[in-house]
Amino acid sequence: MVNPTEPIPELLAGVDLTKANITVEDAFVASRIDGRSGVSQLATLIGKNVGETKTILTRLARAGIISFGNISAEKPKPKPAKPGDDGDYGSFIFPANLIMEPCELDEANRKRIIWTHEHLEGWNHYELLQVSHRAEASEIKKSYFMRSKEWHPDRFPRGNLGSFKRMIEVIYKQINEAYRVLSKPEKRKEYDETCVFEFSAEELDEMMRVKKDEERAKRHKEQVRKRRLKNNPVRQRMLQAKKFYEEALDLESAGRTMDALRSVQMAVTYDSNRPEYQELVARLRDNAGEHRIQKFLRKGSKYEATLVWDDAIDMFEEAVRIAPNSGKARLRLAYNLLMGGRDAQVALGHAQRAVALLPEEAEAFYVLGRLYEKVSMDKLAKRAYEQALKFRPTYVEVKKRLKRLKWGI
Amino acid sequence: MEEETVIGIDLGTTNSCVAVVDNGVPKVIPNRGGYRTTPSVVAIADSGRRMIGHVAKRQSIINAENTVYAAKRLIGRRWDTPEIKEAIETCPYHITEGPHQDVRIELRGKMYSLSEISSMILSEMKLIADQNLGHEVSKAVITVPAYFNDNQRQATKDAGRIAGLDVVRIINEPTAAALAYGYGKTINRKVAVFDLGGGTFDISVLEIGNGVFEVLATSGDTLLGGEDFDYRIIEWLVFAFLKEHEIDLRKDRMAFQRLKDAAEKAKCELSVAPQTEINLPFIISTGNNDALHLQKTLTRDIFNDLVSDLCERCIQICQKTLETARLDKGDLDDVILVGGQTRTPRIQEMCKEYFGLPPSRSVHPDEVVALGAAIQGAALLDERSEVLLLDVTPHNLGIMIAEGYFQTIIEKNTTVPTDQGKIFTTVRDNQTTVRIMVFQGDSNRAEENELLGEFLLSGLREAPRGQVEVEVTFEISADGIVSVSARDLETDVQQSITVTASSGLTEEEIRQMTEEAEEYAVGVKTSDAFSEAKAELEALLREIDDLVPKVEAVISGSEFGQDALRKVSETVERARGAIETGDKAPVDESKAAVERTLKMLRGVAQKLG
Repeated sequence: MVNPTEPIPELLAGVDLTKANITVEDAFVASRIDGRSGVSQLATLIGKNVGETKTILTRLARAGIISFGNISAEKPKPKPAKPGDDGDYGSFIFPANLIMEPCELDEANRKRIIWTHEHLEGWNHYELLQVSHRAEASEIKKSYFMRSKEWHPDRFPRGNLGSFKRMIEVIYKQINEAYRVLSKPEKRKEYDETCVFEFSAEELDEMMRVKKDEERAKRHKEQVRKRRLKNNPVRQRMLQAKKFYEEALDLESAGRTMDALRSVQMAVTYDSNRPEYQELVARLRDNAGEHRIQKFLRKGSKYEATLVWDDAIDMFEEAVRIAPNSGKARLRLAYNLLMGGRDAQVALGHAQRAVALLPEEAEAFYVLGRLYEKVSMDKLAKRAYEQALKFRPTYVEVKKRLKRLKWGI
Repeated sequence: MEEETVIGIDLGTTNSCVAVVDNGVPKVIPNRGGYRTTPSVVAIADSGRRMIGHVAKRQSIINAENTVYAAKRLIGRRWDTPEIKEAIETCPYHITEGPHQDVRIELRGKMYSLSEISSMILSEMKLIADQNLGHEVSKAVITVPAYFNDNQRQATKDAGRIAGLDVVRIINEPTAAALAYGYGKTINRKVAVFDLGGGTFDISVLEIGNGVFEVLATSGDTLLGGEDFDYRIIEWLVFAFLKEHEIDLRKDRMAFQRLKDAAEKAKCELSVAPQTEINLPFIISTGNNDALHLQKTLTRDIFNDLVSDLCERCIQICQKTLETARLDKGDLDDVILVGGQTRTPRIQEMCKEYFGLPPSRSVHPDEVVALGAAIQGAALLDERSEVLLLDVTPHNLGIMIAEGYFQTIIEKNTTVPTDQGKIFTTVRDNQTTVRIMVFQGDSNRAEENELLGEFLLSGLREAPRGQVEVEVTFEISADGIVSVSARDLETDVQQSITVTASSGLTEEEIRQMTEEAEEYAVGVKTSDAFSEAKAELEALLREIDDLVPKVEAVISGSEFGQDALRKVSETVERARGAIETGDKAPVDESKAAVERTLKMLRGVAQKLG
């Protein structure tokens, strides 16, 4: 049903569509116009929505093809400056001295000469002869003949022409030069390679259409590729792994280290190539380790405080086994081994590990120093003590030990 | 503006004709006696009375020494040329040297320049027009052969001035003929105008469309015409007589004049009859109070044989012109025959054979040129005329450069008006003056071309040779006037000349100048980049030249080696070709290939030790 307030588009009589400046799509729409269907009906017919249809109809109305509401055909935009535009010189200012100069030319001629002479430099050979750059030789010749009739010096009065005589000569010589180049195929070819062309409206449209088609094809290709990937089993696994990894990160920040570790281990089974997954595993293991050794550390520290070295050592050994990368565990073990009079080399190993894991822990250096002393590596012991002092300058024990070393007691 | 009449004058070698456009209709103006053409003959009688035209021609035999004919063959030429030397041999009137190495004719003790002689003929034509039109005419268009150079045109213009005429324009005879042919018709055609007149041959190819007459190409020979055809007959008669009587009739002026008359008549008769009797009783006395008679029969066949090489030359020139116009014979719509000589059956046959077209019968060969001139005259006075002529310059225009070569600046067959320029440079270190010598012609040696004029440009800055840039610009106006200017691109100092009739420097002088001109010569500017590239490439090529012999003997044994050697020589050829082009780009391209070749050769040479 037609909405009575909607304007009905109608084709205008006597319009030659082949001369219109419209696209193939517009022409299709125009062909569906029957003077009875409203905008919404047309929209259904052509398979577009109402808004788009309105736009197209407006465009057609502006181009003077249809009548649509009160949109009138646009006056054709003035063509850019070309030789031969009669009378329409736009806002060009003619020098008064030339217009007034006493000579046999009438004003129309004077204006024509001045205007053309001014713009001469800006035209290429094709523009000057007023031919398209695809013109055939016979067209060019015809045009040259017409231009000659307009501009040959013999086509102007023989009497006093004042300053215009020179201008006419210059203009026609340029026309001759343009024809001299364009009339010889080899010279024309050479010239074409250096010439910058302006494209006509049709050519521009054509180029836009080709570009659009190209882009559409590209996008289509991209979509197909995505779809293919979407259904790719390897990709599926990778996506799954990512999901687990992200879950693990969330769990880690929530403090649920074991759950996080389980998740990230799942991720690794799905996608073993990701370094970040591995890192997370290691990190979590360490954390987990730390977590689990807490009770052993506590117990160990209790025994240590009560000087029950052996039990402390047991505790700390367990801690080190569970969390070999726990600097604290290593340090305590090393200390207790030292105090418990156990094998110095073994203890030294732990102490070195502890220093590596806790590079700024003064106590670690102290224990290291003590053990170096035990194995008679005094120099190294001294160095370790100095490091300890660096990190805790008020370390009394270290000071004592150092003094003793210095004085060889 | 008052109504002005412009007459068109065909100033021919043998006959002249005058015409005017009357109410849009071009018409030949007959003289009081009803003759439509006037012989181009001038004579001074015993009494000192001047005779021009028919009158002069009639008394030519008894007054041979003071009757001038075919002045057109001498006008605009310089004294020290082979054409003049030949004319002196054959002409009964006195040809002498003028004060400026130009040519003068001595009649009854007085010296006349060629322009003066021709001006007498022109004033006769003017008189005919004045008498017929009932008022004095002051403006005229005069025709010249298309192949006339600038000096010849200027001299003709001077002749018009001396006769009291304002020569509105000098136009080419074939173009005028085409104008008359196409006037009043709406046609789009390509035509060839075959103009064989008394003294000159022209061939022009034109395109006619929408009232525009565009000359595509033109060529000719200014020393090939009916007179030459006559002369073949004269020679034939002379040699026959010489063999029989051992007397050279050419040495006797009166006899020669009679021979000339007879030859011309015979030639014309052969156009309508297959043979003709040449009867000259009492042609010469033996000195023993006896006289000899000459009687011979000339057939068409004999005549065709005598002139076959002249005809051949015409055809060759036609062929070249069609090529320049980028047309095939088949592209022509019509062939227009102009000039009395084209009445000869042999010429007509030849044209029909060559062009494949029957010659156009719509024009009168003796009158069409004058009619065309009248049409152009009327068109020039009326800017709204439907007729527009686009003619071309027939010879290359340029200047002399170092070592006496000729550098073209405006090529022949360029449509006028036109201007073109080229940049030149100095050839000696610290050269502050360049001499610009303007030449016109088709040889690449300046001395073989026609000198039109010269001037000096001084005040150039002292610099090593090749550094200073001088731009030389040539301009040809629609009226056919040539101007040349030279400008120092740095200081903007400029010097120019408008070429008027040259006072005439002889070939000898030019040759002398060529030698001392090295002082003032101008050289063609080559870009430095190209010279560098060229030098580099040449160095590489020299190395290749050195290596190839060392390597050749060894590797030429194998097929692969031979192939390689062939490739080497091809590369070298191409490189030399690239240098010839004078452009940097092909030289650079070649260089890469040459370097590869050289590397290969070096490698091989090394292996060989």
